[in-house]
Amino acid sequence: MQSRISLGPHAALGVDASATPEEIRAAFLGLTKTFHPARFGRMSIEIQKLSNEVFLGIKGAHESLLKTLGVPIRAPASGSGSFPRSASPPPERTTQRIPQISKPLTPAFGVKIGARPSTPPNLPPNPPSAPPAIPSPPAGQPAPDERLELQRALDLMTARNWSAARQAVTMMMARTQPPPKQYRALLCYTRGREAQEAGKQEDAVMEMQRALQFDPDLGQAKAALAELLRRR
Amino acid sequence: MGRVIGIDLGTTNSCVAVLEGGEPVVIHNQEGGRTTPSMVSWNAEGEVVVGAASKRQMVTNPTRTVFGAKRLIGRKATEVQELASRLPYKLVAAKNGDAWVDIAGTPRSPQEISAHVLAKMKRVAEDYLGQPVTEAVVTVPAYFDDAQRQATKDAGKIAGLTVRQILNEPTAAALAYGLHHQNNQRLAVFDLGGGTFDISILAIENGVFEVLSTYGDTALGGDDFDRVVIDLLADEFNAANHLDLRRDSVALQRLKEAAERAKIELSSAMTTDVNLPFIAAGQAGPVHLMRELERGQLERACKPLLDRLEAPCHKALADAHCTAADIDQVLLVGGMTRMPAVQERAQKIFGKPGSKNVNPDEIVAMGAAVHSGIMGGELQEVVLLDVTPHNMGVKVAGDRMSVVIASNTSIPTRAKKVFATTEDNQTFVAIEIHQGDDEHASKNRRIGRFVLGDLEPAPRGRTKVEVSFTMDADGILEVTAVEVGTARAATVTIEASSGLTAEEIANLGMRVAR
Repeated sequence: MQSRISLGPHAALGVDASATPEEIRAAFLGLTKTFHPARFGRMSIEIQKLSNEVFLGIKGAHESLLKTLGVPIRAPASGSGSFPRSASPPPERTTQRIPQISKPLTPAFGVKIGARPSTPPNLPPNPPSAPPAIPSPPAGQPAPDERLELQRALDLMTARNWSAARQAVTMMMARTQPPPKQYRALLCYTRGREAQEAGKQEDAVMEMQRALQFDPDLGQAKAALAELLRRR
Repeated sequence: MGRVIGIDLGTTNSCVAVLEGGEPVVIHNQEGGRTTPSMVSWNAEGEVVVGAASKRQMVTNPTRTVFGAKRLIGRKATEVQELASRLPYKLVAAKNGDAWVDIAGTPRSPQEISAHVLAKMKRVAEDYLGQPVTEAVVTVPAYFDDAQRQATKDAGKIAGLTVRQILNEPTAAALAYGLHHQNNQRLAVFDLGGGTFDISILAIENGVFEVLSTYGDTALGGDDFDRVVIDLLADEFNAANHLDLRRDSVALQRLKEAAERAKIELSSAMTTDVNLPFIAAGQAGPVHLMRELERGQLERACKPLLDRLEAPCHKALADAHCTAADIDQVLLVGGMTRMPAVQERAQKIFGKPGSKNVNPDEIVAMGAAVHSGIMGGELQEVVLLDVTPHNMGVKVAGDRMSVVIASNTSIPTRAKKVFATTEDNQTFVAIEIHQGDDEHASKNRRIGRFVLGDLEPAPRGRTKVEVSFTMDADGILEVTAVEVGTARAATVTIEASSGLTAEEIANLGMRVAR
């Protein structure tokens, strides 16, 4: 997603150069539902920070496109339903005289001065070829057959054969009722990978989020989510 | 991963809710109540009593029963001086100047007191869910500043809860309401609680709840209305008997209880009786306070308070760039909105009656539970865009506040501003970060300070420093300063302090969460 944002505001929102304010707004609202940092509020600090950067990019794209079109940024009044609203837009800030910081009297205290992180925190690189770690078997000892099946599904994932892996997981789930959360997480993960390969970034992110909802410790889904947020 | 619960930590009452099958459910406490009094007492044996049990013994144990700790949390003793004279318990200043409560010689922080209430709500949820709970969304008034929010978070930590999000109360109410009214509309949330008044204007658009503006008064709430009744009764009593009941903590506590009850009764009845036998000892034996109170008398006495509701509403509407006519629905939140005069005032301001189909005592906790569902992924079609309630800026020459992030900016956000040196050959600048709405920096709360050094010596005004503020969706601020034209930079994450150290929090946690 971050590289998509770097391609400019239209690419970031996934709209045409000729998009209307309504289309821009709709694209922004759609992406907000998937990428708002609140969606990542229970994940690691790194993912939270990354999601913050991604959302700032989406928000910035929305604001800059609407500004170019001369449309107020906030939601329209429901009564009118169309842009621009009757009420006047917020006053534009004009260039001001540069304010001055007075000479300090004492050195810093109370707050830590750290090195400036110029870019969002670097997550450990996760090359697409990295084999997924084998998750521990679900609660209770799975039958030997089930173990073999699980291993087969994981092998398919390592081979990045997502649709076959998804089918394997579905089969396992059909046999164990109710299906353990871990399988459901793997199903979401494979579906997410399929969506990712089909270029459906938002769907992929949503599937990964669901996967983590079922199994917060699923390392592959965490890595995939970070990867999705970072690049297209 | 365990469940995340939603807690409305109120000034007077608290409420806990959890999301079940996509619906927020309010949980009954062990006494059967859907809300729990936010009261904590230490009895003669030094044991802690919380909730309804604490409220029951308020009259017999007034100096060791704390109510309204929310009005103290994250504030300095000097800021709450006015309050101190009217409380039956004793306020003290902590070493760092924070307002604490003296309980039989032991100073206790409002964070610790609130933690007892939060721990009680945690137990209520655990009993209901049958599993341990360690995470919560806790609501605060929208107009709370950084220190008050951080102190609330610390209270959660002491109670054994990781506060996943501090959510604004009016926003929470809108989430709970909007879950079933998702058509595109504009809402005004009029939230008059026990201690604070908040007004927020929101737009709901395709499931995205966007706060357009928020404004409030952190010192206007039900307590103030109670006090008007107390003063009315006590002044009259004083005139007749030359005895000031407010000077006797037991009499004051009885008076407070009677005043609150009378105020509540007058929301449904036109008259009520105040009956306090043996309230004081006069020269000719015991004296009683018995009189009839009419709704009209209450409303006349409360007029100055009712008047204070108007300005924040108009300010919020102006900040949202809309008029009362643009508002589709007015949500009334907080127990005080049951008072007919308050409803009339809201109707006068917005030109339409307030919502009738929400429970003003429970909707905030329900909204907090809804937000836990947004975080957990159970609710995919709803999300919230909130704003920062206060200006954030840098102190510049002449004690001016140069605003970098203006109030009512939607968060997360990032903003930059360039500043220049004021003296020749200045080699370092101190960046002082302030939060607040006054144009004089020193009248606002200073939330951080850091220094960018090793600047190139140059005539004044030549050296320029770009200051960048990044605020995340939780309201946590990170500030970076870069000398323009060089790579010299310094960054600081503003870790708002609630006045307690990590060690103090851990130690209190051992005591409270046992």
